[in-house]
Amino acid sequence: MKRNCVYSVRGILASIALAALISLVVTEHALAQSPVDDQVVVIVSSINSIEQLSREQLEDIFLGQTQSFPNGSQVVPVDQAEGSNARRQFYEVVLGRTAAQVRSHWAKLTFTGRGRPPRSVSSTDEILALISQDARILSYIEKNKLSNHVKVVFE
Amino acid sequence: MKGLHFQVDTYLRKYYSSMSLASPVTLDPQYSAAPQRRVGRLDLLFTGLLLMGLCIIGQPSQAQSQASIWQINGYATLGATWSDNLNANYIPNALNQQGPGRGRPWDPGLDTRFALQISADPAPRVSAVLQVVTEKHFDGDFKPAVEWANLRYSITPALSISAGRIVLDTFLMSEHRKVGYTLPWVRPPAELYQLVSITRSDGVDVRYQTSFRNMNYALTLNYGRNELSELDGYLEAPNLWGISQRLERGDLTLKATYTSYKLVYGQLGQFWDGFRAFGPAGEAVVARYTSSRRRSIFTAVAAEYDPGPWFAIAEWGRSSMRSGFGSRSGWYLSTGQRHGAWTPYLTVARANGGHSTVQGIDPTSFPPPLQASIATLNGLLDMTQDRLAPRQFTFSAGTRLEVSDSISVKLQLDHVSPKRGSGGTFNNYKSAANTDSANIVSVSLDMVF
Repeated sequence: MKRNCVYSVRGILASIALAALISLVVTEHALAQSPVDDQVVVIVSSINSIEQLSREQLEDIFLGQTQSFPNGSQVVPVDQAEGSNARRQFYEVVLGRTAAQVRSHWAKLTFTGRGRPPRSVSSTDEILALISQDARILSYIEKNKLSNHVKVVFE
Repeated sequence: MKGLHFQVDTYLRKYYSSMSLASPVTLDPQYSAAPQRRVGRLDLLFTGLLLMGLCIIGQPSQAQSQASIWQINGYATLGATWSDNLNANYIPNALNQQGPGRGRPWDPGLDTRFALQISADPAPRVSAVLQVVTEKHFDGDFKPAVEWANLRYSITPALSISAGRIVLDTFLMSEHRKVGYTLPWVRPPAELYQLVSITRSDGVDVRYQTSFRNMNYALTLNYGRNELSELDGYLEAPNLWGISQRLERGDLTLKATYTSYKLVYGQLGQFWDGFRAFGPAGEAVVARYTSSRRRSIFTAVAAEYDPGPWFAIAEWGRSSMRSGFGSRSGWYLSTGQRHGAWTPYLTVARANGGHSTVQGIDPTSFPPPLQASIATLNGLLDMTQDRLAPRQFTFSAGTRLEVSDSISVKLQLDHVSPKRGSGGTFNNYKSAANTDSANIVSVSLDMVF
C-alpha cells in the first residue's frame, strides 16, 4: 500500500514536470506567432500641467500606491476594457505584469479593504471624451488614436 | 495555536475518560457554551452596526450615483488534500481539527472556502468593508463568519484610522491568506503560519503610508481584542497590539511585524488544576508553564522579490510565550518561475519547535498509587509542548495554472517530515510512536470575482 502510494506520488511529480514542459513550448510558440501590436501611449488632458511620467510613477498610480500626480494634484487612473489589446499592451509591455498578476495584486487590496482597481471604460473614444472633461484623468490609448485634446506623458 | 490548545483539550478529555484512576480534574461541559454564543453575537453585532452605519451615511448625494458607492466582490477556493500517512491526520491549519490521512485519505475541508464582500465609499474620506467567509470550522461544519467589518476614515491622503474587525497583519500574507487566488501556493507554509493562531482583532488600527525616493512605506499600528469562536471559548486575547512595517522598492518588498498579546485560557486551566492537586510540586510546574501576567510576543520579518518572470520569498517568525514552554520559530524559502500560464514553484519550510524536554512532577517523591496519574499528567504536558511547538521540515513542489484572468488551478506535493519525538502538523495519531514522514497532495481551484 505504502509502496503504491510512493509510486503514485512519483507519477504525479512526473506529470507536473511534463505539463510544465509542454506549457513552456506551447507558450513560447504562441508568443512567436503573435503579431506586432500598435504601441500604447499614456495620456492626460492637454490642460494638465504634467509633462512626463516615469514607468515607476505609472506603476504607483495604476496599482493604487498613490492617488496623486508627482506635483500633488489628484489623479484618477482609467483602464481600457478588460481583454482589450491596449490594456494588455500597457500592463505587459509598459508595467511588465501579466493580467493575472494585476488581478492578484488588486485582489490583495480589495479583500483587505485597502483599495479598488481603476475604473475601466469600454472604448478609446470614451477615454478621450472623459479626458477632455477632466484634468485628473490618466489613461492610455494606442498611439494611432491620439487626438488634439490630449497630451502624451509616457511613450 | 488555538487549534493546538483545542487538540490538547481533546486529548485531555480522551485521556481522562480512559483513566482508571480518579482524575483530579473535572471537565465542565457547560464551560464552552457561553463564550461560543457570545462570539456568535459579536459577529452579528459587527455586521448589523456596519450595515446600519452604511445606510445612514451612505445615502447617495446628487453628485454620486448609487453604483459608485457599493461594490460586491468575492473569492472562492475549491480544494482537496490527500495524505499517504493513514496513521494520523494532516492538519496544517489551526482552524481545523480534521484532515486527510487516518480514516479518510482525501479531505476537502482544509482549503475550501467561499467569501463575499461588500465595500463602500459612503462619504468623502470614508470607506467601509464587510467580508463574510464560509469555511470549515472547528466543529467540522461549513459555516459563515465575519472576517472583516470595519469603517476607515482618511484623515489625510497618507494617514487613516479604522475601527471594527480587522485581520491582524502578522505575516507577509496574513491579511489575504484566505484568498487562494493571491497566493503562489495552495496554502501558506504551516511551519510558519501556525505560530500565531490569532488572525483578527476587534479594535482600531492607524495606517500611515508615504512615498520617498522611489520607495513606498506603510506603517500600521493596531490595538484590539480577540475571542476565538473556533475554540469554543478556550482562548481569549483580551488586549493585543501590534506594529507592522512594509517597505516596497521596485520589485522588492520588505516587511517586519511585532505583535504583543496576552492569552487567557479557558478550559485548559483545568489541566493545570490537575497539577495543583499534587501540592507544591504541582504548583511549581504550573508556575513554570503558565505565562501568568506576562505577554506573549511574536516577531516576523519577510522579504519578497518579484521582478515578474520569477519570484522568491523568504519569511521567518518567532513566538515567545514567556513561560517554560519557551519560544518557537519557523521559516520558509520559496521560489517560482512564470512560464506563460504556468508557475511551477518549490518551497522548503521548517518549524523549529521549543525546548526539547519538559519538566513535570517528579513521580518518585510520591507513593506508587499516585505515580501513574503523575506519569499521565507529565505525558500530557509533553504533548502540550509538542502541540504548541511542533518540529517539522517540509519540502514542497507544485505548479499554478492560470485558467483565466480570475481563475487559477494549483497542484502541490508536500513531503512532510516531523522531527523525531514530534508529531509535527499531524494529529490523531494511531499510536504515539508513529511520526513517519508523509506525502501530501493538494489540488485547488481558486477564483476571484
